Amino acid sequence: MEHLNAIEHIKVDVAVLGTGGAGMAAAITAAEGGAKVVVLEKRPFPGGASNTPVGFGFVKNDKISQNKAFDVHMDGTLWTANADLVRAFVNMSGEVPDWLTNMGIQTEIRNQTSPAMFGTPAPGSGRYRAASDNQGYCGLKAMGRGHGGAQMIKTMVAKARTLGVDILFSTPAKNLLKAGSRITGVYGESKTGSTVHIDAGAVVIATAGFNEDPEMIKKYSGYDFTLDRYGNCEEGDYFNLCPNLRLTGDGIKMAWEVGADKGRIGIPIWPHVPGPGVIGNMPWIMLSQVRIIQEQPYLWVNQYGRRFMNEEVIPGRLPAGNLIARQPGKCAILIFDDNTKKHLEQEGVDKIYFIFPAKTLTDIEGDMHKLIAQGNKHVFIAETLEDLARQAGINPVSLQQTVAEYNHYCENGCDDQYAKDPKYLRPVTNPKFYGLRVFNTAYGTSGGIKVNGKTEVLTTEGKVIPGLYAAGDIIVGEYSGDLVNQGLQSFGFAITTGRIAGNSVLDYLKKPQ
Amino acid sequence: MKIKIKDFCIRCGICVTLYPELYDMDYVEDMVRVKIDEIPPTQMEKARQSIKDCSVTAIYLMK
Repeated sequence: MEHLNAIEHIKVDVAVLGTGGAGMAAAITAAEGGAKVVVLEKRPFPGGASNTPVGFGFVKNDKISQNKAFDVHMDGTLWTANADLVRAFVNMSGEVPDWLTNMGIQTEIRNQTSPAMFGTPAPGSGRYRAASDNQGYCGLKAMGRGHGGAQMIKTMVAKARTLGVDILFSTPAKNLLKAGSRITGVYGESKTGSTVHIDAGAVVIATAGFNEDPEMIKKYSGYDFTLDRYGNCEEGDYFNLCPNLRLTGDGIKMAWEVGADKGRIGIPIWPHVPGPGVIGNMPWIMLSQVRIIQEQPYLWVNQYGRRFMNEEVIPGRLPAGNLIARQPGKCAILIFDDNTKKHLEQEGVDKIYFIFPAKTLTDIEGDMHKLIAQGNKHVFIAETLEDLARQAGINPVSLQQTVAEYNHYCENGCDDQYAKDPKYLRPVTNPKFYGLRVFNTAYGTSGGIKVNGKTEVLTTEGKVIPGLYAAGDIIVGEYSGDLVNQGLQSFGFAITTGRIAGNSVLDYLKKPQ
Repeated sequence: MKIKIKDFCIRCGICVTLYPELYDMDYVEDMVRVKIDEIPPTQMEKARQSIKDCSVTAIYLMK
């Protein structure tokens, strides 16, 4: 296909699509190896969802740790993950913290077992199951009110430029160029709408997920999608946590067009209270303490007024999200009373969330009133349980029953229903009663392109598409296997697979074509 | 003194959220706008704080 309006023609060794952790790691790695690299970015700024993380997990850089991490991961996914990719990740990830430090990025290895540094350990989540002594956590230094990912990306962009990498902003990639079975470049569209024709020896797709593509969200999660940037949700809706990023699955669709296999696709869903006043334009902005209250393992019910989980799984977020997804209306309501409110304000929280590590909260009621005044429909304050049920649309009779049973467990110090640790059994007896309605959302999506251990993209017949590579969120489905909705290792995985893709491309370019 | 924003601003909106009197999100042009021209003395402290709060140090002051 020849574009007649092509005005800009670029010839490079490698074209990288996307400037997140995966894309920048691939671009820098390829450029360090002597390749001429161009990077296409859809947005006018770099980083995408990689601006959001505070750090990433990695596997320690020794053979014993690597073997153990490999074994635990493959066992945990019941060998449904791609073993070659898992091995490549496990062997490469331990070098990443030093690689970033040498680039001038300020990193700090954090102790995962310290609640002060890493919050309360989350049970029941695949992500943390392997987080034993063979794993480490690399924190990234943040600036201002932001998260470390933003600083990391900023430094990576500067580094890439010193290596001669050309980064084209506001230039989304549109189609891959193919000669025979080989990928030979990509068409992009510049700010002015003109076509940028890029001839490349190889293309690395690192365009992340499809958070913002209603059709794909519906198809792969069953959710209806709301584009409302305030996340105003109705029952059964999914809201987009990163409305700023325009993640519409572009790279995935381009790869499918040239015959790439889909592999596993999933959405690691995270519960959040939506609506104005809770989440800003980017999810790191904590506008309300509600964000911390929703991490607490108190009484959670569904719209039928029934409990449905041991609430201790909530800090795992992903299992909690999967549980909430199976409730009527795909939402849940957290309920606590005045005593628990005072407990949070005076004695402190039971579960520390390491992203927002507040230990005690202040004036919770005032904060909730503020949200209600801003029009948030998911925050409730009531004098009676009946009124709380009415406000939140829960069956009041069944809620009364559930609360009576739950209070009985609290009194006996034994949760006969879901075996919650007695120290989190806090009765719901004293008015006022407070409620928060929680819906599912996602920071990113998982998978969409099938690759092998070298991150070479595969066709449905399992053949390599020469010259086409993928890294980051779009291949995490191959790493997660059947746990594709668990969002395993996404940020560390993105940087590491970007490195792997960069190295694989360098090997490919050395071969006679 | 005027507030300026560098082009690598990631549109996270922290400045808009914390200092709505100084910044505005332009959803049409897809960028953050500075709402005032010359910073009045009463807003100077907020302007300086907004520089410190920016995630990527994209905000700066210019004479």
